[in-house]
Amino acid sequence: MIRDELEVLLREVLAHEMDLSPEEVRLEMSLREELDLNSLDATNVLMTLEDRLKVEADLEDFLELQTVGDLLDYMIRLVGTEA
Amino acid sequence: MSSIASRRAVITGMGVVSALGSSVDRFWSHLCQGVSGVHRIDTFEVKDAACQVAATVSDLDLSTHFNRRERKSYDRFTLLGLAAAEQAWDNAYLGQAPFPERMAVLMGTGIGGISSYTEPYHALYGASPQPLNAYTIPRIMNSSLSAAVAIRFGLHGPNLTLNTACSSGANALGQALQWIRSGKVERVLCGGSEAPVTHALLRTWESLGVLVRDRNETPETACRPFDQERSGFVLAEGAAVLVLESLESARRRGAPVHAELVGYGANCDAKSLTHPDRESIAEAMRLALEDGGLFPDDIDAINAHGTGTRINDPTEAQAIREVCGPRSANLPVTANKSMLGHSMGASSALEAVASVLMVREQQVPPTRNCTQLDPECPIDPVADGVRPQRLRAVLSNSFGFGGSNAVLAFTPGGT
Repeated sequence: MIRDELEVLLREVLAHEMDLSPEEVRLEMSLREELDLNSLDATNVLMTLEDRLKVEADLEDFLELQTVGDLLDYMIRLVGTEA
Repeated sequence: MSSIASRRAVITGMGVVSALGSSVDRFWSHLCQGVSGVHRIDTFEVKDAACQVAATVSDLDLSTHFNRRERKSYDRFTLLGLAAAEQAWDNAYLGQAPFPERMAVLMGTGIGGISSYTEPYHALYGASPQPLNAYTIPRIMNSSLSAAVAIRFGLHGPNLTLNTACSSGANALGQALQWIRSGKVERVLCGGSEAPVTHALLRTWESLGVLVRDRNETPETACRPFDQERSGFVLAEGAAVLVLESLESARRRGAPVHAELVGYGANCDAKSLTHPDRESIAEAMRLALEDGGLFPDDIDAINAHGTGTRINDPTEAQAIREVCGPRSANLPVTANKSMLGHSMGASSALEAVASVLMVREQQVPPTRNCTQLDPECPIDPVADGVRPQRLRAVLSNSFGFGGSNAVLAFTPGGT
């Protein structure tokens, strides 16, 4: 999966979880302050991404990420795909 | 229970979300007009159900009233209860409450976040398995309403949730009365909430044989407490929250006093999970009278449990007869469920609000659809419309599966 496809998927999953449109999710947005993700939202996002990408993510790693872009990079590392 | 309360407790705020309206004024106006909140179910497919009617909230849009975070975090029963609590808070002019550590929350519910229960089953066992939702547990838990109310208003006093099935709301008020009397808290937000109108619950209640089955084409005639042709109750949703406050506190801050909660009687028949017991009901009524320092002759009206089932109504009517004697033939007995349906743990809280309004307004709302009184029910069901009359005290009866009876006694307030 290439970076662009992952980004589309990530926007879709975050938008669904936070009741937004995918266009409203931007890479520079902070996960907590701007997207308002709490630990339960993060758990849901990770479970969905794990299900869709067939990977295993770590919630503690996730909670250290700051922005949507950081999350995209993290998912790229997990799936082992270079953009 | 002591017959002489050391501290008196009054109702200074009320909020209602119901099939008869989501404001206290609309609720009371519709109750007095004999309007039915029962309708055909149109939110899920009911072709397979014998009972196709229910009483649900139609004038409160949860999607605009609550923000995204609240809608996601809370089950429907919590949102209904929180909306009622907001009304009660404003009605009591609490504003920025002083001494939040002296304000408690005590809510009743029979089955809590039941509509969220089905989600993990669909996710796990549906045609294509889906990830589970991390919000499911906080949405399901019965205590989520009590927690949501404390969070909304920043209340640090005791925070409990109580479940005695269909008497949950009344027991919440009764226990709140004990807290006020004990001096441990000044105010309690108390009441009940329920959102049980789901396909699975409808069919499950139906299997118990207690839902109306023969009135799908005329829903407004479905619930007929004390009527000869009654055939069961109507499932309903709703919430009611009251601010119960020490009389001293209410006077100190010049709060409006709607009524006084003077007595509470609670017991258990210890006989049956589902069958009401006349002797225990009569004893709970006597306990409420004793607790309030009242005699049977002081009671000028009763807000009945009055479900409209074949078994409840004569059992309750005969208990009233046992307590009030021959006078019961002319004692006004109103059954709010004839219009509101039966909202389980919320119903007794809704009926407590109606009882408060009865003593405040000196009026008894009618029992709808009681066109031919069952001779086994020797009471006056107020079948002919709202009745203005002197009400020195009103009893509100509530009985729950498990044999948990709760009776509240209200008087005009705070004099």
